[in-house]
Amino acid sequence: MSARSRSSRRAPAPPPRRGLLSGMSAVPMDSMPRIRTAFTRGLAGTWSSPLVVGSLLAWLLAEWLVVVALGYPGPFALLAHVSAPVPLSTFTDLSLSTGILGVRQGLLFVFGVAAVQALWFSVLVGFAIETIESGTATRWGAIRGLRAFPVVLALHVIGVAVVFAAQIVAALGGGGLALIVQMAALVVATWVFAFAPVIAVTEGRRLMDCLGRSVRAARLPGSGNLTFASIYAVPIFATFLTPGLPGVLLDVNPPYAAWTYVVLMNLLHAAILGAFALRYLAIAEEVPDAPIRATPSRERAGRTGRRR
Amino acid sequence: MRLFHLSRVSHRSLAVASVTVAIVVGAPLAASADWVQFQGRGAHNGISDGPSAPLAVAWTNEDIKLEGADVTGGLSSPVVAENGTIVVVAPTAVLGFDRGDGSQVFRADRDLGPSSQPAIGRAPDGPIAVFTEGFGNSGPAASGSVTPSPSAAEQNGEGDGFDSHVNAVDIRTGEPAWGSPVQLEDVVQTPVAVDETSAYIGDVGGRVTVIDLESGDVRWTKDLGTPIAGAITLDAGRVLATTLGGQKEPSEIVALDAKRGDELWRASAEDASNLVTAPVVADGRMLTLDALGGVLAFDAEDGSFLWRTEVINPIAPRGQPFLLQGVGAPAPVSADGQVFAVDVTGRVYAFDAETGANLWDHALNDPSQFSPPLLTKDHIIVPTDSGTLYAVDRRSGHLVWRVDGGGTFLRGLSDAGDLLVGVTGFTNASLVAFEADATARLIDEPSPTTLDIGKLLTRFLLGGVLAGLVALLLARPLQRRLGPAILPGSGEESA
Repeated sequence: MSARSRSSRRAPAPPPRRGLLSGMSAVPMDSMPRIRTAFTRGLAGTWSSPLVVGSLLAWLLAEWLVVVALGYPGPFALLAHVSAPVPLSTFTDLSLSTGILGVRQGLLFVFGVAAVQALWFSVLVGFAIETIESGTATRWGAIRGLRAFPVVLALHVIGVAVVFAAQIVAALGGGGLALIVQMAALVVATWVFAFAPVIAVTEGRRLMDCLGRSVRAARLPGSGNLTFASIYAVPIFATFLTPGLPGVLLDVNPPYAAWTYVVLMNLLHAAILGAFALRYLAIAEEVPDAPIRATPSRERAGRTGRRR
Repeated sequence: MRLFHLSRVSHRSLAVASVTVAIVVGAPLAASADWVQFQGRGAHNGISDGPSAPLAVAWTNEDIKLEGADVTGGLSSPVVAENGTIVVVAPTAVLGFDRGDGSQVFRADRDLGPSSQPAIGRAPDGPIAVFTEGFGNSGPAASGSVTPSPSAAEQNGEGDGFDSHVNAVDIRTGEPAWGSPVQLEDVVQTPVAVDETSAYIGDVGGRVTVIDLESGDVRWTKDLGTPIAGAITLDAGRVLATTLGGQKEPSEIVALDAKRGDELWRASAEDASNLVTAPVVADGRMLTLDALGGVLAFDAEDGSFLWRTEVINPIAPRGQPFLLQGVGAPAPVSADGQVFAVDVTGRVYAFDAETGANLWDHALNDPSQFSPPLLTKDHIIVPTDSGTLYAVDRRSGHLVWRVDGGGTFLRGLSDAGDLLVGVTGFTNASLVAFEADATARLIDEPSPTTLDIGKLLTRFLLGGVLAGLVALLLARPLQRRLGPAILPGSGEESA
C-alpha cells in the first residue's frame, strides 16, 4: 500500500474550498423554507401576538419620549428601523446619538444608544422565536431573548464599523459607486449576521461561536439566504434616501401618518425576524461545525520531526 | 413764581413730548430707505426699521431677462440707495429698479461672474454702485448652485483676457463712475462693503482690497492667506475679515487698520470649525458662525473670545448647520441682548448675547440656504427656499406670520423704507417687495420642536395604535389557520 493511500484512509479529504458566493448556484435546500413561506409565517406569528404588537408600541412611545427629553428634535422617521437587524438599525443608533449630542460627542455616545437598542432587539428576537416555536409569545420569550443581549450588542458595535467602513470606501469610489458600495455592505452584513441572535437564544453559544455559525448557516449552498437578505435590505436602504416620507422633519409631535409609517415598518422588521428564526431553526442541524484547526504546537512538532 | 416756573417746565415738557410722539408715530412713514450693503450697514447687523409682520406682497417684477453664457447664478441680493433705487447684480449686468413699482430704471453691462451683492457708496457726483465682475485667473470655484459654472473664457475657448475686477456705475445714469475697473487677482464671491470713502472687497485668494470711492484707485491690499469667508466688516476704524482657513491655517477673524491695512489682532476659538460668515458687530460683540454649528462671540474691541454655543440639527446636510454657499452668505443678527441665527434647514435659534445660552429655537422646516435673516423691532424675518417669508417673534420664538413670495429661493431681504425687497429664483429670476398689511392679524404658532404631550398621545393613538390594531386583527385569523411553524418537540417545520 502506498503512502498516499494510507494517508487518505487515516483522514478523509477536506471538502473543496468554496467561494463567498458559490452557494448561489447550488440546488435549493429541501429543508430550508421558501422565502415567501418564511415571511408569511414570521408575519402571522409576530403580528398576531398582542404581546409583540403591544410591546412594540410601548417601546416606540417610551423611546421617543426619552430621546425628546434628552433634546432630540426629530426626525421621528428614524425610529422606523429600531427593530431592524444590524446594520440597518445602525443608522438609527448613529442618528440618535449625534442628534442629541452633536457630531463630536455623539459618536462616542453611539454605543450607549446601541446598548439600549440591543436590549429591545434581544427581547424582540425572543418573542419572534417563541411565536415560531409555539405559535404565540409570552413574557418567557422575552426573558429567553435576553440571552442574546451580548451577541446583539456586539453586532451593533460591528454595525457601526461596517457603516463607517462602507462610507470610507464609498468616499474613495465617489459618485454612483458610493451608493452601490453602501448598499452592498448592508446586504452582506445582514446576510452573514442575521442568524447570530437566533443562535444565541436557541443554542446559548458564545459570541464568536454564534457569529461563525451564523456565517456558515448563511453560506449554506442552496439556502437562498443572500437572496432573502437582498430582497429585505435593498428596499429598506431605499427608504433612507426617499424624500417626503412621513416624519422626516424636525417635529417632536409626529403626525398620524408618521406614527403609522414607523409602527408598520417596525412590524415588518419583526416579521422578518420571525422569518429568519424559522429559516435557521429549519436547517440548524445541517449547519457544519467550525473546522478544527491544528494547534500551533503540533504543527511545530511535525516540522521538528521532519527535520530529523 | 413757583407756579409760573412749573408752568414753564410743563410747557417745555409738553413740547418735547409732542415732538417725541411725532417722531415715534411718524417713524414708519419716515423709515430710512438706506440699505446700501450686505445686511444694511458696515457692521452687517441686519437691523431694519422697515415694515414688519403682518406683511403682504406689494409688487413683483417677473420681467427680468438674464443674459449671458450662464445665468444659473440668478440675481444678487439687492441693495437700496437713499433715493430708493434698488440695485442688483445679474450675471452680465447691473440693474436698477424703482422702489415704487419695481420697474427697471437703469442697466449697465458687466462681465460674467458670480452674482455677488454690490454696495452703494457716495462719490462727489452722487451715489455709485460698486460691484465685482469676472471669474479671476483660476476660474470659478465649484461650490453652490448660485455660482455659475463655466467662465466666459472657457465658453469662448480663450485662455486669458477674462479676469476679475471691481467696477462702479452711477446709479442715476448707469454710466461708469471710474476711469477703469480695478484689477483683482482672484474671483470674488462675497458682498462688497463700503464706508464714507472706500469700498472693501475680499476674494477667494484671501486678499482684502480697499478702493477709493471717488477715484477708483486702490488704497491698500492685504493678503490674509486663505479665502475670505464673508463680507468685510467695518467697525470703529477697523476692517474685520473672516478667513475660511485651510489644512494648516486656522480660520480666524483678522482686524486691520482701516487707513493703512496694518494688522491689529486676530481672533479665533480653539474648538471652532471653519468660520463661514462675515463678522457681525452688535453691542460691542463680534459674532460669527462656524460650519459645525457653532455660534461664536468675540469682543469687538480686542478680539478676545467670549463664548461659543453649538447648535445640533440632525437633518443638516453632512451635519453642518451653517454653510458657505458661494455668494449666498449666511450671517447671525443681534439686538437688545439677543443673538439670532438661522441654519440651512430653516431652524431659527435665539441666544443670550451675554452668555450664549440657548433661549429658544423654532424649526420652520423650510430650508433657508442662501441669505441671512433680517431683524425688525419685534420679529426676525426669514426668507426661505420655498419662497415663503416667515416672521418669528423675537421674545417667544413663536411663528407670527408667513406669506408666499410668489417664487422659489426667496433671498437677500433688504430694507427699502416702507418695503422689504428680495429676489427669487435663479434662471427665472424676479424681484419681490413686501409691505405691511394693516388688515391682517398675526398668528401664534409654537415651534414643532416644543413637546405637546396631548397632541403627541392623540397622534400616537390615532396613528400608531390604530396601525398596530389593524395588523393584529388581520394576522390573527392567518395565524390560527397556519398554527405554529415548528411542531412542538419535533424540531420539524410544519407542512
